[in-house]
Amino acid sequence: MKQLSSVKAVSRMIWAAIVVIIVVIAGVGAYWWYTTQPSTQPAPEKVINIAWTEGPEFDFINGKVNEFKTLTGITVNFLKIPRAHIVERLMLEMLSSTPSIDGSVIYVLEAPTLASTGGLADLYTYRPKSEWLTETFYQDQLEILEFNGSLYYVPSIWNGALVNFYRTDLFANATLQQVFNSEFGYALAVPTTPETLLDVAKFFTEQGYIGIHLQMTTSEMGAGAYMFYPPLAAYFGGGIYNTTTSQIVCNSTGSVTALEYLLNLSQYAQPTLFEDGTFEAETAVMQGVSGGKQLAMADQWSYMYNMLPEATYSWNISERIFPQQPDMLGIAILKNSPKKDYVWQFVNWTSSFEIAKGTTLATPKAPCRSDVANDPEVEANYWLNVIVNSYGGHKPLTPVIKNPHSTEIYESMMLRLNDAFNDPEAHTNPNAAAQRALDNLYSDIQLILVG
Amino acid sequence: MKKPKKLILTKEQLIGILMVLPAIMVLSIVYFYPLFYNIDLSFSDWPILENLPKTYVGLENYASLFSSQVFQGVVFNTVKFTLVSVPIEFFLGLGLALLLNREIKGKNVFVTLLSLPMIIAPVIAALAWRWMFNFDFGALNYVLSFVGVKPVLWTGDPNISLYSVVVADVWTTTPFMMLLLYAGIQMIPTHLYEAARVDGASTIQIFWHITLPSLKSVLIVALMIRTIDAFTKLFDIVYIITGGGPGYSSMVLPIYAYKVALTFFDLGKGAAISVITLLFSAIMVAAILLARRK
Repeated sequence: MKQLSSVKAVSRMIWAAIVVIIVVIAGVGAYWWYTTQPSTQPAPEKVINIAWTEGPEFDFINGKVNEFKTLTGITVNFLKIPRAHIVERLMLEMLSSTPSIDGSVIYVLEAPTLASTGGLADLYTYRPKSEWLTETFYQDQLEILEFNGSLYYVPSIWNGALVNFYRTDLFANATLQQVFNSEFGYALAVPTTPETLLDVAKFFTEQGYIGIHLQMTTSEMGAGAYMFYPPLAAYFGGGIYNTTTSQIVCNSTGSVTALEYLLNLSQYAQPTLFEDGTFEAETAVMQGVSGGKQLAMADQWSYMYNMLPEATYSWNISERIFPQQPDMLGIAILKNSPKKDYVWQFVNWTSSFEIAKGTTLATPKAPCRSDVANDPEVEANYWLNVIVNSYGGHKPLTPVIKNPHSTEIYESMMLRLNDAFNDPEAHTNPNAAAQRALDNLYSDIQLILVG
Repeated sequence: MKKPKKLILTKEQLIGILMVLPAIMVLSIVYFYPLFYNIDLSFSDWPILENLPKTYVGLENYASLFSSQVFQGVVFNTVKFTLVSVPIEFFLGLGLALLLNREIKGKNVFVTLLSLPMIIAPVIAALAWRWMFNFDFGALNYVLSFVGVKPVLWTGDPNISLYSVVVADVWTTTPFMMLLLYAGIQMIPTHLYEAARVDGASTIQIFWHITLPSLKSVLIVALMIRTIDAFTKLFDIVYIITGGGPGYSSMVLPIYAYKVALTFFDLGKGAAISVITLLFSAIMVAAILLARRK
């Protein structure tokens, strides 16, 4: 048996092995660097990868995408990514030097976070604002999506409006009308003010119904308390954080009044208002039941209008009493993509009159262009005026918080709303409960902004 | 002058070292490097949302977390979850293992059926439980209605949501405990039981003086593994059933670390939370091992 008794010999062999491994890794790294140099890469293929999600509007575009290919020669690959995870994925893409996504559907409430990284291309470099307006895009919608003078997407994919769904048979019921009149002193009608909404919701709750179906989930973005409370606060003269003045206004008198109102209204909502997601909300409207009782009203999304013919009960929609947050989805171009110009052509196509009209009709939603709203085929639909009036028509859309930490601020807002809903005095002394929660939110936001 | 000590290695030993060297290097890349990078990140502030570079801030992230009410609540939830779910799994698993140790017909079938929850992917199990917890359409409230109990807000009541997740977690992980303890029981020499019966020992006495002491090592391992899992790997069940809500009533450390790092993009704090999680689980494991020595 050979014995290697020299320490030096052993260490030489180990070092040799390490050198070999380092040389191999260096060689692989040099090859990678060489092949990713622009001069060594072939011209980009006419294939773009767009991060995508689901819904009838997406199905419509997917059905038409071959027309886009015929027109431009560009092939579009849709990469389905759950909406809840698109932001993380895009952040990683923007930090990466070898992007695999050229464009992505993004959401209005995530846009400030993504925009702050500088990783999105400005659409105003492709088409200045004046031209967008000439093309009849709504100015207020463009302004909501402007960050420091740049535009990162237009809401050509989804522009969701919350409207008031109400049971036509219940509101037409003579007995119920009589009882309501004797209790409240005025005729039962679809509510048009916050006060009448409270009265009507309370009345139907007393009659054994669920007064109003609300989504007050405090554990997810894009639905629930996140969509409901900020515009309510704006309606009562408050807000969360004023980006223009850099003021935290969440514990102002208006904000407290709004939360107090919401605490009162929530007493007449379904028991699952803190956990109902989209599926539960759709089922509630379709079956007209939640928490074991029939619904009288629901504050829900316009896309559900198409489901109503198959609903168990008879529903109709009316204009939402409160303003609302924009609920916008559109395609943004990733700046580090070598195929930005191809993605722009796709953005241009999806925001064209024909496609914008098609997606508006496929899913009742607010149009992003006034020429679509004025189109006879679109105008013929009952829901158009209800949606347009609810979504910026009669009350301005509530602007989003345009701060890189907007996600964190909204998350804190939901946490403190949850505290308010679970406060022991939530229904006995809602003003105090609201004040406590919003004072805590003020501290939270200060900490987030200061760091 | 003293001669330097000579390191004597045989050729076979040296070849062995060189054989494992690539594996060690790969392990270093995929295990040690991320671990040390994470620790390094936990002492940093990296404002990627403001396009600023990473800077070292010492213990600021840790100080900020420990002084945060939200973080304290999340830690409390995680500890509460661990202290409730692990003992339940343990006692249920032990009970089932003892039952399976008897001579019963179709034992193998029972073992297979009882092991099914462990085989199902956690995400699928979580989805199934989410539906079972549904207030209007869930199986649990449906069954409760037959005995006159009002429907329960399993995932919508902040006082109950964490315990609902415990139920789902116990269902998925009890088979692991059961199989581990069953294997341990099988290894106990049968002559010990025979001798005890000859001496007139009761079933409880046999369990207390023979089975439990013999199972001590296996018990420690099982508790350690489940404690670590409950503390550090509790993600999918909670994420799918409640998302950590309502509010943060069922939020646990792994999900909170994800949220802070990849939703708020505070990478330094997210890294700090994962380091704290690691330390907490190490402390719990050390406590279990200490109890074992005593």
